[in-house]
Amino acid sequence: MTNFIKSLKQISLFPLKEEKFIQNIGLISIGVSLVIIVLIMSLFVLFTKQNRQKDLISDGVTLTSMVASYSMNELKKDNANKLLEIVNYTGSKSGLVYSIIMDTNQKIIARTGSNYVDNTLIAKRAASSNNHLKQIYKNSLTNHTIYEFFRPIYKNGKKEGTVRLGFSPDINPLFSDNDIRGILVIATLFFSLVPIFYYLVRRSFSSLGSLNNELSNLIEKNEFRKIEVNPKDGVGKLVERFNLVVSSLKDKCKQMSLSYEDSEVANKVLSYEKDRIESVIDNMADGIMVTDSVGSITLVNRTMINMMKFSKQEVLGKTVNACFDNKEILSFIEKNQFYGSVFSQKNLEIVLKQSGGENIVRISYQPLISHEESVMGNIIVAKDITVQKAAQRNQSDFIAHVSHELRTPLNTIKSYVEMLMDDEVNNRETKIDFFNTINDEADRLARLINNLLNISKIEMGSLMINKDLIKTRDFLEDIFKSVESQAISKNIKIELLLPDKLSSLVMDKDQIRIAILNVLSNAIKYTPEDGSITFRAEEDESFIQIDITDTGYGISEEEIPHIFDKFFRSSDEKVKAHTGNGLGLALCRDIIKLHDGKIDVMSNIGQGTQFTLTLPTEDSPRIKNYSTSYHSLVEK
Amino acid sequence: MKETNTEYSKKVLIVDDEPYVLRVLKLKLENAGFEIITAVNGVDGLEKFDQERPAVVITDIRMPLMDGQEMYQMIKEHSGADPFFVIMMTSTIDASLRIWADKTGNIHFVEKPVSPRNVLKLVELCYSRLRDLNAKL
Repeated sequence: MTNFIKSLKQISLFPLKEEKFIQNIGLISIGVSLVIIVLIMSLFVLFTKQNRQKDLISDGVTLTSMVASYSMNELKKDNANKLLEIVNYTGSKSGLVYSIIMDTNQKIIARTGSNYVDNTLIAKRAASSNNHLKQIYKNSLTNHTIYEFFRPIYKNGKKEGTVRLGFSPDINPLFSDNDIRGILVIATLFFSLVPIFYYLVRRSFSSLGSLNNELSNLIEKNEFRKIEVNPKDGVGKLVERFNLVVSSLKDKCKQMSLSYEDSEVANKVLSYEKDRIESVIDNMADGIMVTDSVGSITLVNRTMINMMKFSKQEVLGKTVNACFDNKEILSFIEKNQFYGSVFSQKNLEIVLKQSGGENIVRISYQPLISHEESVMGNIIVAKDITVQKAAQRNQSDFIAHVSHELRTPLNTIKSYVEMLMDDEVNNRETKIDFFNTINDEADRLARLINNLLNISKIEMGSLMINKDLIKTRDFLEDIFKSVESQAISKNIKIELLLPDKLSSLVMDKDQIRIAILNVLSNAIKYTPEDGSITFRAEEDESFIQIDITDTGYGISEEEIPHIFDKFFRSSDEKVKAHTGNGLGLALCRDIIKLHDGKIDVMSNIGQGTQFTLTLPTEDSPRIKNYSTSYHSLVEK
Repeated sequence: MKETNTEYSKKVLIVDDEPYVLRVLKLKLENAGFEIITAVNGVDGLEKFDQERPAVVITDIRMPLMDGQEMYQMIKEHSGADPFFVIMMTSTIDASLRIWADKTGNIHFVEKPVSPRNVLKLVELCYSRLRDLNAKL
């Protein structure tokens, strides 16, 4: 369609002059008719002149012969005059101006007509001739061209005289009245035809004019109306055919644009689908590379590209071997390509160094089987298993930790008991100390097992939370009392600061007690003698904030982010001097989280540490649901 | 080599980050007449070894700063031609550890939980070996 319009526009480079032509057709037709009239008149003049010449010559010859057939005797005075009058009358039509009969002595016997100049030379030439001749001369007076015919008059072979007849073709007017009338009739006829002709031409060209208009519409606005045609019109049929051509072209264009629209929609749907599938493949977490049966790469996704040192454009069309420089991968792929399905190793786990550090990647190589069960190529999938590997390692680390932590107190208990059994301890005080150590280690073991159980329950989501209404003030006082003696034995000044009123908490009493106790006993454990600990609670709108501040060893900036990690233990020698399993704070954090609270730490090495536990009260909007469920439970 | 005949230095270095282990083994071996030196990690242990030159070293494997195996290599370098034995306390003796120990020829293992009785037996065994070695010399 657009091409069609373009070609039309090229045509329009030649301006259409028909309209002007039609406007000027009137003037043109007037001009043409004038030319025709002039042409006719000049032809008429030419024809008349030729006719006159002929008449003049034939009259001249005939009349001189007629006069010369008489003898001079017969042409005596009156006869000669009468004859010449007849001759004069006859010849006047062909321009006879004079007639003369003279004797051999050139004496004029009879003469008629005027316009004769008595020229001796001409008379002598006429008189001297013995033959029938013609001479042409110009009358010096009238300036008329004279054709003079003369013939000698003979009697019995003897020349007696000469007859001379002078004709002047200029003397008679060119047009007779009849002629002029005829010419006028013809001219009038022609002029009256001009408007009729003009009207007819205009009418014929009017269709062309609208054709022109519609064409320029088609070119400029790309719209075309059917041209109204007068069937009687000369160009009507042509324009009618043009209408047909244009309308069939229009139909075709419409069909084409419709099918074009259809295919465009289909194309859009297809490209959308293609984009979608491509973006799905691109955004997959696994790297994917597909090769054709010859081994060149036909598809590769973004994840795979990120694992290689090449761009997508560089990789497409190349062989797999050209895209990796890792020897392990290369030999893995080569083995697979060479041995095919016989080669049992379908996976390769390797460490890839990438911009983001080292990643463990599992690469698998599999044939791409078509519906006809023929091999279309191969698909290589690279899966980043760094996180899984880390999780696996974490798990085995955890087990190693746990077994170590469990064995340590067990180790102590067993060796101490054995020593006592073997009676190796003689000193009574040492013996008591041994029993105490065994007792403490058994407690430590029990605590450890409890902590472990709680943590694994929380992490597996199977910890039952038995929500209870906690009278916060009593609850905190109780906790304080349970650790007070420990602190005092270490000569640590411990202080409890509670407001007179504290809102109740709806929480698992035992869990929260463990969480607070873990922090508090840490404070006592890691605060040197003569230090001080403050155990303070405050209420702020819908939260109760519990601060445990000590003047202990403090935690270094590097270690603070890790103190809630399982089995993390400070590398500070002063801290390590005390037993610990690295689970207390991890458990505390898990419990507090489970109760929608949060735990914050501030610490300065050598100065002390402050742990802040923030717990939502019963009225807190965050735990409204819990409290209602609690109440309903109580009512039951 | 001054005391080649009878009075052999019966020094034992015990290295462990667990204070209770140190305490109990120290008591057991002291009761048996050994001179005991203690250290709390590999670095400390190596330092004490260089100072005291004990012929027998009892050590935990899992320790901070320097583990038992590392410390063994360092002691081997530092000991020169002097023979020595190492008793390693470990909860699990895996195959690679066993192979490594067999190559060295002077490592014994004690499984955790440690029995002080077994440790004493091993220490005595080590010293009898040393006596044999010295007798050969």
